[in-house]
Amino acid sequence: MTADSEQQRSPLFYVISALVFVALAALLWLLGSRIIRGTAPPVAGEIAPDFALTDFETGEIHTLESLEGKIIVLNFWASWCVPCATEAPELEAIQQAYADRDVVVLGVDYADTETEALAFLEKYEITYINGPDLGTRISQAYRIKGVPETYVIAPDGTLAETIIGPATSAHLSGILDDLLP
Amino acid sequence: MRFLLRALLLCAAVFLWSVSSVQAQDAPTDDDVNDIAKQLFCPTCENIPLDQCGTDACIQWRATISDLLADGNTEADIKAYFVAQHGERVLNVPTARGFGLLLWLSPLLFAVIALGVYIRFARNTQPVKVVQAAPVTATTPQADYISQVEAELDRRRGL
Repeated sequence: MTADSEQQRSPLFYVISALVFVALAALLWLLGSRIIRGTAPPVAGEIAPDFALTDFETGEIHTLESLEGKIIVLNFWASWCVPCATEAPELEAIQQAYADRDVVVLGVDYADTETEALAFLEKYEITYINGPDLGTRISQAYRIKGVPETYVIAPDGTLAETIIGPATSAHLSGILDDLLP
Repeated sequence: MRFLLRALLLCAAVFLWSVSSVQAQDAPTDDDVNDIAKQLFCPTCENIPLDQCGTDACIQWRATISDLLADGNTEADIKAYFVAQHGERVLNVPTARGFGLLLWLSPLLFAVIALGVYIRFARNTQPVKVVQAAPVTATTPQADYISQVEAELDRRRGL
């Protein structure tokens, strides 16, 4: 690279170089952000990821914003998941016990078929709100590693507790009693 | 009377055979289901295509494919259904939209950049100059000496 060749370069060369650099940087940023997003789960104390859950029964859409001021027990489950079957009555018990205390239990049906999911809900006589994880958007936002997983969200929208594996009513009661005034 | 009974039985047999054959034509085969299943991945089973996955979730998904085929849905309809339900990541080949488009274009982008860099370096590289050795002439002292040695050798050989 001599001084002469530097002098011979046209402005177009610099424009193209800059564009290529920006394109490469954007590509790397996009790929990097995907990787980082793909590995970082939500942390307790931070604002919980937003979601839109369409109720199987009513078609109503429930979001973090629409449930503001309430404690949310967000449970990921599937009809093919064996531990979810043992967990479902525990969550139903929580729903019954805390229904009048601003606690909402939401079931997010993950990677499931609707027919099997509805049969599961009927079999275990589930009355709390359930809906499909359309496009696996909610499970991706919460970075779940499998089912069942349960996230307890405080009334201010921050994540209070994460339970990996089947949740029990005793464990959940302890968390909810601490959060309730 | 017996002839009439036989005729009725024959008619019933033909009717049942035709009904069963029509049902058999409508019901998708395992190959039909697997043709689509092999293009899909269940989110719960890492890197295992749906046609080879033996989990309960995958079995349910294959049953859904079978139901959708029986309802007259095309391969594209079924793939679109699974994408709507479970997201783009269920596809074995990303669609050329959004981030998927970037994935498709990035090899081309890198190839163009690599070609540009190669051309630039090729232009800047100076050809290596081949320096030819100066011919040995009889005028140099070394050449004189060699000539004398060769002449002496020829003489001794009797040439």
